Amino acid sequence: MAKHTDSSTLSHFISFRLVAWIFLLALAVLLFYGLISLPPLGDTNPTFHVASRYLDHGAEETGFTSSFLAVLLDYRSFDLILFDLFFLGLTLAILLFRVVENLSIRPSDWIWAYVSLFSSLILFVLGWVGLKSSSNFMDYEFWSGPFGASARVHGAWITGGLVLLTTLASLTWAWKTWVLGKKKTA
Amino acid sequence: MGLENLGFGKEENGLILNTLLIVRILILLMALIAFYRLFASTHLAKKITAWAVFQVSIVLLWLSASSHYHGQENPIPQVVAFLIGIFSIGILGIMLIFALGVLRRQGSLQIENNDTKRPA
Repeated sequence: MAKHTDSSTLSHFISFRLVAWIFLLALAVLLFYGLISLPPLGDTNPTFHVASRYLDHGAEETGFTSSFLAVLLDYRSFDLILFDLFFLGLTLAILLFRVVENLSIRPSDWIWAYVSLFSSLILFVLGWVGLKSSSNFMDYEFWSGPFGASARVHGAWITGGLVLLTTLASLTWAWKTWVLGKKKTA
Repeated sequence: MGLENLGFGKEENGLILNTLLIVRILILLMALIAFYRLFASTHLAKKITAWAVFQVSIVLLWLSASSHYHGQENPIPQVVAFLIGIFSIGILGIMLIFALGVLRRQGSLQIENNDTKRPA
């Protein structure tokens, strides 16, 4: 019986370690492939070909002098929806956790959940207007009607601001839940 | 892409490029060790730390890809590193909530898995 127990423990150990090592090997190959694709220091070619457009026309097309903000808030603003959805999911998961774990939700805590939910809702409604013309996430051309030619850069700031609001509210909500949960456990 | 990107065959600045290569490989090793600890450790605080180290390594690898084009710095590695960084903090939030669930049930952040469980 003792022998059986030892071999069972050994097989558990081997199977667990084997899975970990297979994943590790796959990740090592993937990361090494990525590593040798990285440009050397001082390289004058863009890592991505699309970067040449961002850098050559970014300022005139988006109104941002910073190419970082032009890419993040304007050219890749659609990516921010996924980002926002992830943090909205985090907010809802924490809400579910609080109900399941029977942790009280004070009115001051609710504010963070509401901020996260409403900023996401506003972002999705504004984005939906933009999706009708299938241009950018928020239809900056549409908004330039009531708000003038500078609407594109303002729209990009609004997109970024709403995503930031969702992210911060969601993380604060998570932190407050952790603090409350630890206090009740202690 | 290829070995020439790593600096081989470029004598004029080979030292800088080889140093960069060593730094990148060290970061890669740090990422792999952290990833293994993410699997193998049975303490949730260690798992959370391993995740943070893994993501920091990935962010550093992206930042090491900074390059210049037409006299300007290519912003894409920075944008990707920024998004990965914030996304990782969100995952840390989820891990924290899971850890809280374990803490409330077991009274500690130590978990059992197949690696530690011993049949009676």
